[in-house]
Amino acid sequence: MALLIGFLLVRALGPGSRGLCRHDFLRLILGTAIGVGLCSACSFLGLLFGVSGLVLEGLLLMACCTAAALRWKYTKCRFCADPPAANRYRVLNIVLAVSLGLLLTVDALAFRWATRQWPQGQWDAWAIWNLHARFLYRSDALFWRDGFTQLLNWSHPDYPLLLPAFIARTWKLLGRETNSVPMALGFFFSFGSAGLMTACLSVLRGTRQGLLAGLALAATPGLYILGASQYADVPFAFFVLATLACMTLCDHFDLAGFAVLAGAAAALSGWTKNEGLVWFCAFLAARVIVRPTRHFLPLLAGAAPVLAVIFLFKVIVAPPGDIFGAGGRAGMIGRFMDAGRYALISRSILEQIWSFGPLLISPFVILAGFLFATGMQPEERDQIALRTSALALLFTGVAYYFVYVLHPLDLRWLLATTVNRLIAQLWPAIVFVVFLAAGTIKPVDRLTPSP
Amino acid sequence: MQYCISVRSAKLTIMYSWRAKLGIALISLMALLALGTLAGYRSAVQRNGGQVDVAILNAPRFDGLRSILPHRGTVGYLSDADEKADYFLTQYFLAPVVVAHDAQQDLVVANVRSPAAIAKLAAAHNLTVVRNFQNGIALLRRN
Repeated sequence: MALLIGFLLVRALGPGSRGLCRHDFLRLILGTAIGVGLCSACSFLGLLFGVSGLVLEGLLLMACCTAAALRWKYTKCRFCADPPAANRYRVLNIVLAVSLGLLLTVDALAFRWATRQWPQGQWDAWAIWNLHARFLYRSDALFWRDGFTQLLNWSHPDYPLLLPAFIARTWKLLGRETNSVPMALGFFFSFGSAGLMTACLSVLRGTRQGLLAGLALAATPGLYILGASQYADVPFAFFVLATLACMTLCDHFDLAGFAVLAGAAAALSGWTKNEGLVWFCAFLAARVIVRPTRHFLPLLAGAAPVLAVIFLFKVIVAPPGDIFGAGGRAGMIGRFMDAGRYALISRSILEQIWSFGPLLISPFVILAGFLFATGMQPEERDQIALRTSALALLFTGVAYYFVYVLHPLDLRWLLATTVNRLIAQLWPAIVFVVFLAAGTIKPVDRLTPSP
Repeated sequence: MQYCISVRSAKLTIMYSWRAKLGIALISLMALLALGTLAGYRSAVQRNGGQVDVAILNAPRFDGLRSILPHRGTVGYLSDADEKADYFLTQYFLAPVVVAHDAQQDLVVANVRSPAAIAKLAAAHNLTVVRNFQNGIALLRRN
């Protein structure tokens, strides 16, 4: 159901050819993630208003079917009609595709090892996401809010419900609790990020650039272990990447429908984790600064329904959070003025950037080297999206920094347990921006006389 | 990465610039480093092969308690160990019953490391043992 809703929605808003084309892979990945988010929102609204979430999903599916059918007769795939400059020499592409396939296979093995070790996920998975899913699944329709009480503040009852509501809804459909559901979600979002990255950059900059970007993302083992741990940071990272991918496709091909999807993806990041609201605001602010008039209304239109769901959750269900609740506000000025906190946070972030991956050499250094080697050569029509993306990431980074400054919990513990995950949240988007900006790998033809 | 195509008297040589080669080399290096990390991770997993996930290990201990607790409501919590994980796991296994981290409720769950601690905790908080499951878990009631 989630897959169908999302795929048809993406086909309706970002039209494809009448039959299937190779770009439907991109639409399928993007659509599945958006479908998961929308089904989760339907499930929550169903609980809130005492109706079946499945009925709401059915209505949504009918609407998406109708929209896709109406577009079908007049539709054509803009990606097929306007491909990037062809790569004439395909040997390198084949080598890169095989390497990507091998690396993803090894990542999948690592994912399997990790899920066998922690079938219920690691700490945050069972203490937050799967716990909330259990409250939603095991409670009667009238008492599902029991778990969202200040008595359980340690379980962050103010965290949004994309994962818990989707897991609980799928358990209800299956008629039993099973670890397979959160595991499958972790798998989809971990590997879907690499798929979305490869497919989107292939459309924008050519297959070779897409494969190189996919390879760079596949070469971040930590991301796949985090996915296997059933942490929400990986779905969040997917939606951050999807926001940038959709907005860049929108600007590149002048397709307003993709601005709607970008808005939906940005808002769904806010339905995944509270940090998503920071990302949404940062992205919106960046867009306003770079080009406020271009596709801004479709962007807001795509975000509005999901933002309304988040608003209902925050107002009706969620208790106050850690930072801006009464406990968090106490001593906030003192924390803001404490220079020692700034030094500690900066040092910790730099250390984690260096050890991120984890690879022997920081992937940030490697990507900087790649950018130096290929030079910055973005396409003219990607300039707006590129500047928006870079600025949005910068704003988000700065906002995260000040959340650390103001956060009431023990700073050393907080830094030790969260910085690497916050970097992981933004990492796919950083890789996307680097490969969107970098020059493409092209051969130089030389005609030399034969002996 | 050099291909040659003979075109009558001339030869078309397809070369990659040093910058392109460096770019490809860097991404290949990243992939190789990732393979190294994953190999290291594999050995770490094999070394810890005997370790069972705490969430799996503890689940059966709560089966008896779950069957006698009311379907919803709030219970208290007591322990002889100051381990957050024990408390969080208790809540995870007993949801949708809310487990408050205090002994103020009518029903209180004891999750202890030492079986002898159950009677001491009950006496100290004016509680009676309703049922001792003989696995470090007990249900206590306010007198």
